[in-house]
Amino acid sequence: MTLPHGGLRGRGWPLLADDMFRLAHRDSTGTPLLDPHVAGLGLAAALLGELLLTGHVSVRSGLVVVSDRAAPSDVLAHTVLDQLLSEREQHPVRTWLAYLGRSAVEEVAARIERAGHLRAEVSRRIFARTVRYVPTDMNTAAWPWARLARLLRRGGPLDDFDTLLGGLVVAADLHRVVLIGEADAFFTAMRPLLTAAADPIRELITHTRAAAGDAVITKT
Amino acid sequence: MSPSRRESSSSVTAALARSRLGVWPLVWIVMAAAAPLTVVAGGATAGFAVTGITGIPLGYVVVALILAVFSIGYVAMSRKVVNAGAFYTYITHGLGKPAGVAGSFVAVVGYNLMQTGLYGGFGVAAHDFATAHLGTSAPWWMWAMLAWALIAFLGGRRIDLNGRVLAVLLIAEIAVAIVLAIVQVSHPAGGNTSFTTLSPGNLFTAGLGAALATAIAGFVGFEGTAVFSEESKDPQKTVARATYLALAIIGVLYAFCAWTMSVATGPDQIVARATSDGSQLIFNLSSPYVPAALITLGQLLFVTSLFAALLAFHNTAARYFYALGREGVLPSALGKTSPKTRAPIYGSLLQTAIALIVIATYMLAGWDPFTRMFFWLTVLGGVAVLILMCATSVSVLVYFFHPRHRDGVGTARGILAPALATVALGAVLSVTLVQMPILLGVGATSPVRWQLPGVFAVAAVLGAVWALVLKARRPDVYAVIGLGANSAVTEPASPLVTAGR
Repeated sequence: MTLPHGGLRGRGWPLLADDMFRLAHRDSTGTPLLDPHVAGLGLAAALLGELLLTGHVSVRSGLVVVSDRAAPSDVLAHTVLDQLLSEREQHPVRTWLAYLGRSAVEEVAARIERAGHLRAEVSRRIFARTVRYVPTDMNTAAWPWARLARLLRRGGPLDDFDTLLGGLVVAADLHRVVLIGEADAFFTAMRPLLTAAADPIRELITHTRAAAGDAVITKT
Repeated sequence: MSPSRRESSSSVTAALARSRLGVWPLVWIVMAAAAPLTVVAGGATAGFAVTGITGIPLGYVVVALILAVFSIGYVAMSRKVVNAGAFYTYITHGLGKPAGVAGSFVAVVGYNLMQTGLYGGFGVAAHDFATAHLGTSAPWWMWAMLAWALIAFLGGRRIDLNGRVLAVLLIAEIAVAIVLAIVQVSHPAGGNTSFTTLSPGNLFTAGLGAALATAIAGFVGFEGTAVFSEESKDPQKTVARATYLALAIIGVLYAFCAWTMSVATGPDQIVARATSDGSQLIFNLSSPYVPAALITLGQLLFVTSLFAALLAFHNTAARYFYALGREGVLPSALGKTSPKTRAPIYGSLLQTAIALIVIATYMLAGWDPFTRMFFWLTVLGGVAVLILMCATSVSVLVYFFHPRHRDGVGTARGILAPALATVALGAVLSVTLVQMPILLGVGATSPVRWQLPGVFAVAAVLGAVWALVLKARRPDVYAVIGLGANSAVTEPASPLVTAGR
């Protein structure tokens, strides 16, 4: 598995969830583009994906398996791995998505905020207190889409980081909001790459897609 | 999944269980679709009027019992089958993919009939209410179109009625229905309380099938509990308890309210009064004895109850289109969602379009919105669910016949109960088909007696043929039939996908 390197994709640690978060929010205003539940599932999958990319975990027959107990250099990833390790038994991907998905949006937002790329704006309305995460720099926020779109237009393979990212976008149907008009082209370009992806990556993506799909059916 | 694994002290499973649905939320979801006042004020009276059968109250009791037996195997299988979302999933597992797709087509037609038929009931109820209390006389179809526009908006944005609003409405509906029933039973016709309409002798006459089919239409929606099996606190117990509880509550309520109406009119007059008063019967019978405000409230709740049912069945139909689109059985556009709202957007739009066509047809043809639209279409929707329950019972039986599926499910639950349910539901279905003219209130030689239920035969044949076409042309789609959203996971079917919670 190729380790990603440098730039906005994380210095040393593959900040997959950060990019997923940026994709799932409007770059100018920070308005969420996904239903909160599905956003949680997508970000939970991205957090697992980070550990997958660094070889800390693997996905086999639908189960998340820890393969390297060494502490990750990223604090949030460290917390996630600790949670995985504290369970005596292995849980299915779907269970972890549901569990991590409950707080993933806030946790990933906090990580990006710590890095100085987001500013939390709290607004109080009559009934609820809502937090909107506004990007401090639109270019940084727009970078993942620009990169994915450019790579797909160029054709050819993506590395594991971008394959996972593109796959999670498809799993959450996110490309339909952002790439209006180009959504089908994006899907067509991603599909062969997902089919050819390594088994754990493909499994993580398909389980995320299934979880997001079930969330549509059982929304209460 | 072994029960012992579930009980392990895992903080993850414990944390997830806390946020899952308990018994009562599930009961509410089911009862919202069942819409008690719709059934009591609309379904039962239309049943008396159209079929001319006085045994409707007993029909509700008998059907509740049959459905309870059906639920034993149905709930047992919902724990075994991944994405046990819908009848067609079970049929696919038990009887194969062509039968599964046939079932899915019958379901799509049935739920759409149910939903569109409710517009007739809503239109009439809203028209009556507005005429009596608001002094407007807009025709029924204007009210139906108003509801249609609202449903199109709410469904397309996946806005459900707020859980608390729904709970308040439901409790109010049930309370009003019970108060009116008590008033009716304390003012019996001729001063004597008659149990005739609850006596078995009265039911097992010429109109048995018609009474049972009317009753089944009132229960449609109860099957929804199994959809939430993976969202419930304890899949072993929550779904089963919620299903039986919902069946018991609505069974007793329907039977009691329908019976008290017959007490107030006298059993010999119930058919005549139901025919002349329609959905206003329950209110007219009580109005001399209670404050006018209570009657007005009841009439208003009848309208809101119909609206809640419209929205519930709109979402059910849209979800069916979505699941089939996601699998690729129907065009994959139907499997697309609106990411922001989690709405099955194209499924919702398609259902909205179908409803528009049906409302327009009834409006232009000038057909009666209460008997021909509300009663016929919802009862036909009930017949579709009856057909699906028959097929599902057989499927549950076949599924548990394999000893390897029977882990933790005894012979009584896995074999005996579905066998009994198959026989009972099969019997109900055959008398329903034989007595279709009585059920529809048409002459024995009328062609509609075959044409209307024939719609389901056509749907089933088309479904089976389509499955075989898919098998030949698109084996990848054929491979995932019955998986719904889980069709994304095409790894060798691993029961572990839902295990370990």
